[in-house]
Amino acid sequence: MNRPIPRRAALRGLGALVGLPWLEAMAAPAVRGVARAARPNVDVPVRLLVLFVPNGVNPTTWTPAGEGRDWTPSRALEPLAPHRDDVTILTNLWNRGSRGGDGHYVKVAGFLTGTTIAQTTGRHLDAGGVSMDQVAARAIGDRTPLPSLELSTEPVTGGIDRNVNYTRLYGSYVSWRTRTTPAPREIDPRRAFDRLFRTDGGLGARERSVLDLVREEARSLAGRLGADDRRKLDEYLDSVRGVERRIEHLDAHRARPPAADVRRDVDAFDERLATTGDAFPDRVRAMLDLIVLAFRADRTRIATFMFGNAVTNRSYAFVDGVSGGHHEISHHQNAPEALEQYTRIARWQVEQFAHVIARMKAVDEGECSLLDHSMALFGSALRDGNRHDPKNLPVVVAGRAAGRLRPGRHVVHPENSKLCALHLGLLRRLGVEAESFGDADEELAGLG
Amino acid sequence: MLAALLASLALAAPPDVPVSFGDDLRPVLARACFPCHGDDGRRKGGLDLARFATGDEARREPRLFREAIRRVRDEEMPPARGPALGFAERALIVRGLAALLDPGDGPIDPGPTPLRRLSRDELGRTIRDLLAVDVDVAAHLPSEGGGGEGFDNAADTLFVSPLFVERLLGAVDAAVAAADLSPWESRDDPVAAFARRAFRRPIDEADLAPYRGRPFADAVRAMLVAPTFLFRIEGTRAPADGDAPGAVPVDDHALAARLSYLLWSTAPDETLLARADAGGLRTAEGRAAAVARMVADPRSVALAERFAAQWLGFDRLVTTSAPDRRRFPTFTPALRDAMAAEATLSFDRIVREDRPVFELLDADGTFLNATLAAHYGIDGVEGDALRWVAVDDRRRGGVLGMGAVLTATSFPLRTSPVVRGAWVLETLLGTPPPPPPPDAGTLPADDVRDDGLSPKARLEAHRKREECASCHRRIDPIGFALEPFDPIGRWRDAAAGQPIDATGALPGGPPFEGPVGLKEALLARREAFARTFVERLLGYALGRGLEAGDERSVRAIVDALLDDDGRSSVALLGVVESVPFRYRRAEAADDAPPGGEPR
Repeated sequence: MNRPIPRRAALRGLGALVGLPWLEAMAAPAVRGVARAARPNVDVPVRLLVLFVPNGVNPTTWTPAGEGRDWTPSRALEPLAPHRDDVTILTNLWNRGSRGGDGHYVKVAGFLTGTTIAQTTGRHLDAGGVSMDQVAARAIGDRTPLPSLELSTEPVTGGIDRNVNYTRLYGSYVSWRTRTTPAPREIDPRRAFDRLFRTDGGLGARERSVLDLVREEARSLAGRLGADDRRKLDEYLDSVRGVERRIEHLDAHRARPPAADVRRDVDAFDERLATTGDAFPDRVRAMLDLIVLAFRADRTRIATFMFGNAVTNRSYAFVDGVSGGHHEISHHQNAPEALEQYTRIARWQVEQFAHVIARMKAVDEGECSLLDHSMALFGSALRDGNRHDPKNLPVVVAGRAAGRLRPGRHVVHPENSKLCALHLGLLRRLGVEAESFGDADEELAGLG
Repeated sequence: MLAALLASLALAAPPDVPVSFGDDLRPVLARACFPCHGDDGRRKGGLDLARFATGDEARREPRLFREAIRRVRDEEMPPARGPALGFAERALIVRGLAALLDPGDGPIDPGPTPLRRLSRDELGRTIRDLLAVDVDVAAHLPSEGGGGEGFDNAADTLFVSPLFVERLLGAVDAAVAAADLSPWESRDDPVAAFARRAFRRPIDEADLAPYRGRPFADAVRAMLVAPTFLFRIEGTRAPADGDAPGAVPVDDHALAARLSYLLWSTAPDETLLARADAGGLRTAEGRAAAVARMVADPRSVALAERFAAQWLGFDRLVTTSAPDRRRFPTFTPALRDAMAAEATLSFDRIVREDRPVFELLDADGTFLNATLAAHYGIDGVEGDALRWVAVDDRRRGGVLGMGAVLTATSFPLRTSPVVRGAWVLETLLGTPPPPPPPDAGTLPADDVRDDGLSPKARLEAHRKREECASCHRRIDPIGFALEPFDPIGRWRDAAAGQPIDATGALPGGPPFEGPVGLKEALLARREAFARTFVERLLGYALGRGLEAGDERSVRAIVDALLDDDGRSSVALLGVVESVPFRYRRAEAADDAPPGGEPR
């Protein structure tokens, strides 16, 4: 693996940028485990995490039995049993805009935008809207060093799909910075960690002066370009500004004293990465733990993680009883053997979700846990991969959003309820004042 | 025989009497095609022909109608159980549609020229060249997808984000730190010299002003993230005698950059810049000489590594192929790398030695080292270095016998006749099958499992379903011919304990036997292969998807290529000489952005 930064250099100054204003304001440390009944700390920000799984789930082993507070986890959801009071299972949501098109790209790229993507191999690429997480990043992202964090496990899938005439990159992004620009994702835990927690040797005065220079050059260029090309240049300038903002944040954070416990965990994580293997389960765990650490240190409040790209045929042979590729298995043709493997894959993914939940619960933030101040959405843009079915998506939200979510329930909505209504509800809980999102003018009923 | 006759009738000469789409063609299509492709919203294979009311509408989708011509000409459509089509009606459709697609002899539209950002790979090669460092710049940058004709250099799918800029800053820092800048610093005016190479054009003092008065390394850092470096901003020059009408030629240095990024995936070198300075790229002879020199240069391996790898899909060998480790313990990284190198070197040889592109289909040898030769069961090859080895056995030689292709088109535990068949149709013949219906199934993951049915027998059972059959009749028999190659490209005589039946056929063609038979059948359709190659190459060169206006360029290059036994230089020069490669539209007809302003 390519190591961009000498380890020692990266460690120097680690944590120096970890400032946690609300933690300093807290009077007394909370006692772990007692926090559940306590009032959420209103000074603590709400965080948003999205965990996306490709290729759908076995529809027969997903939906829990029972409704409201009286529900029993399905086989796929069993790993959530220890956290049943912290999760909301949502049944019957879908993105109407993802009907038609093709079996995968329209679904994946539209999962957080709630729109229909343009059928194209590149010309006039258009996701139809900004994704929910990026709407939030625009609104509140300036409060943290990184407006948002986008992570995945696989490189962007190359080429175009000539069968259906979409560029395959659509299936590699759930986060869209603009309608026409996806948010690039990190797939290497080491690079992601360095970007989050490294303070020296990366961005500083030298980079600032470089950016000053190129910004001037870009401005003088603008007059020579047509409107289409100017949009590209605007994208460039916007990105330069984004990096400059990051440098400002870094400067501000350098001046703050480190929080000792966070710093210790950051150091420990750094050491752990040195021995983290290349195996998929290890990388998934590293990424998920990194997100929790980033939330805890307030490096960002918004994160998305993709278990894989649309149509990924990743081998899940590391899961007991699974012997094939994910996409192959998702086309189960109702064969019992394939359906069983499909269930086991979803169950493993839900286990990872349960792991995140447990980690977030273990972080004390005043009288409550990080999970109590968070919203963690787990879902896929397909239900049954065999049918490429976009209705009744598998969707679970963990956390309490500082008292504004009422978990512990299986909420069965009317058929074809709007996924966008959930997105709108989550946005509002992040403090984003949005009138509407996608096709939803009202937030999903009964969120809490 | 009939098909060939019709083809020559229909495609060689336009019809004597103009054919009206609405009055003449549409009624025939309505009877013969609409029952499955249009009436009552029926869209078999995703195709709705009823939506085309006029010839102008039809012209906007040349690929669709070229494919329709081919299917009707080869009597694949209408299907046997569909409406009967007489000779005259069939000829009318083929000739009428061909005439419709023929854009006549007016000025050629150079097509859109969206602003091209250097791709991740191009940035890596360019910075490595400029600084003479061995730093993997591309590895610093976020991965990118592809667009247009399927390549990662397509302008419309190259974005800039804060993460990209941040990573580029880091990559440039690392490269500059590793570089020995003294060769540059010994020049009269290091900043001016570097800017000329980095910005790929003559530099004036105004260009340099921002970079003056600071350490050279700082100036280099800034120049390598500057928009003038990152984007291929193209000037134009006044048209002169001999220039194409109705279009504006790009200036000498923009053309030099188009040449170098096509052939090398990196910036022009001093020699090419000097040639551009002297106006040496204004004549066809000058361009041919430049291309010849550049092809002979080692950097032209980029064409194999970037163009061929993405076109033929052997880049997937490294990114996504994952043969099961327990089943295939011999599939080591060393073997995988040798497979990729075999494919790369084979394409490179065709370019470098100006050989027929048809050698991709069938060659009398291939590149092997000891590992790969042992894998193929070929004796007498030793050492780790790959070299050209003459091979009598016609099962090898050409992409159909390459481990890279055969592995990239297989699943972890089994071959896929469907994937391999679809690969041949799409990649070699340019006729991708439509997507499967939503509830399409797949074969079991493992073809060693013995349930009494061979994969072929299972697939044949599945082709009895009518909604599957019309496509799988075209796809599967191609894949069957490749079944003697196992999931990692080894020869096998049996699978799942049963002898392999390698009888195959191309759509509308006679049956043949095994990979050798498939090779011969493909060579007999070399025109379709040549067209596919040219379309992909032109798309790669232009960094965009092809449009209706490109059809004449494609056809001219294909004709020239076929006339000259497929020599690769004919295709390369054909692309270089084409109007879209050397010109821009007269007025920047900006396409309206689909969304709002980026923020």
